[in-house]
Amino acid sequence: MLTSLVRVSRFAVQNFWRDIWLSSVTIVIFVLAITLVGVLSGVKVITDQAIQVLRSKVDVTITFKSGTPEQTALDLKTKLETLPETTAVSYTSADENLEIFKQLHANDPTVLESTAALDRNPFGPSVKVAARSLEAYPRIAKVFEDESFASVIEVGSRSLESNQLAIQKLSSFTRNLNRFSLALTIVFALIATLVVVNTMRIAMYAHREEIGIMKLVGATNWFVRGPFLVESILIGVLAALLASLILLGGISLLSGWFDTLFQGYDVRMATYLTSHFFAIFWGPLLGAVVLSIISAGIAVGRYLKV
Amino acid sequence: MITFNKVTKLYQKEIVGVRDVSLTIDPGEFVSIVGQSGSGKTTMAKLIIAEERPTAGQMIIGDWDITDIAHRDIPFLRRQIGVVFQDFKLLPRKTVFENVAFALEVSGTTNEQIRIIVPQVLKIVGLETKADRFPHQLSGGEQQRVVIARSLVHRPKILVADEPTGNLDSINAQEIIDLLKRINSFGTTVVLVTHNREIVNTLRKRVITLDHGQVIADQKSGKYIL
Repeated sequence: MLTSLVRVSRFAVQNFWRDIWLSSVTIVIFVLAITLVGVLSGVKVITDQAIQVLRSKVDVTITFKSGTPEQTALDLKTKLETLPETTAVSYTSADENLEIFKQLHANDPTVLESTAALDRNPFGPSVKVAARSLEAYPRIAKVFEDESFASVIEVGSRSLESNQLAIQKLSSFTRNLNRFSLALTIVFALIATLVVVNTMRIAMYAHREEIGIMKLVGATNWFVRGPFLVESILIGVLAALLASLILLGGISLLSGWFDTLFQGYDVRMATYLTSHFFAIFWGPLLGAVVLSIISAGIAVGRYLKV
Repeated sequence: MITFNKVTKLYQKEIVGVRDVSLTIDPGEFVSIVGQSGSGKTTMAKLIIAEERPTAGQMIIGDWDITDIAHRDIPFLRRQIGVVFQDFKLLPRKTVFENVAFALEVSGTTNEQIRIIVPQVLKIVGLETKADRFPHQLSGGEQQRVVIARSLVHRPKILVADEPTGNLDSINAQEIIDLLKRINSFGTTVVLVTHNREIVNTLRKRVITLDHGQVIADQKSGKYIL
């Protein structure tokens, strides 16, 4: 058994090397297929990250009418904090809101003069709330639409109408983007599968006479199939390694572009893709090896009936 | 040694390969099977090595009824029968030595034995100096001698040669026939499938003549009669 295994492996390496042209062409096609699906897997990860960043940046500020007691705003804050849907709730006093307004219009003397002319603070306190998901905002809104708060909250702020519309649009856009990138990945994975399977079939077709001869001199099916299967593993693994190098090189080359894309956010995309490389790209890499073995096994089987 | 008992082989239910063939080939015989193209000569060779199965009748090799031989047993049958083909059927990615050694490797022969047996057989066929060449680096006659060497490594009791001289010039063809005669003289049964009149007539051995899949003559020391 061991002798046979050694012989099968030796034949595989010998065949690979002595038919290096066909082996190289097969590897190149495999590399292209893996890289294509790999790039799409990477794009999906980048899209997911971008969507996540975008969703985490959505928050809603509830502005109280001028003269609303601080305690009312603090009560709303406490109530919102008890909701499981919220991730962060912060309170800003009326004075702080006035200060922020002044800083925002520091270069506009007309606005500043108008503000100074007022005998009272035109701003009320405010509460900023961030939710776990965009879909949770309508449930959160129910809290401040309650009668005890509704009368003291600025109408535009309370109704959330404009915010809700934006949230719905964003939510629908990200959902569609996710579906699109998934569909694209599946379509290209199918194309890559067909390419890999057919490449292996053509490679085996080129050796069909050889397979017949092996059978005619008394080789068992296993002994004929063995070298071709080992050769297909060799081709699959080498292609996966080359595709990995290309993908890693690509990530390294694009790291600057990633930094620009996620500027201002705490996302290091190139580092993330590199450190999670096999978690992200295991599909196309392992898929190529497995497909290569299965398709070679099936293709050889067609010529074993001698 | 080889028995055809009312053997019929039909292709696609209508095309006749051989029909109702009954004959026995004894151990140590040198038999030529002759006939025109399509007469069923190659079908008979294929039936002997179980490349084809009879549609009807019984096939016996030695004590082995191979009429309904299981797929898994075919390799073991083939290791006991040497086969020489018109188109050589050498493995293109293997050297002369490796081609001959392959027939031993499939049966699990040790590397030590292979290193002893293969050079001996290559010497018999006169190719000991060309062991490292690939098939495409050899002449037709040399390639056919490699095939004969490969068919001999198992010391088979039967050697089936299907048109072994078909692709060779007359000098190379005669060399191959001389080699087959020599192998026969060692006690190996040789079944030569051919349509070469000159070779058959000079052999003066048993001749089985086929026509349209049927045996029309079986002469102990015959001639090409068609």
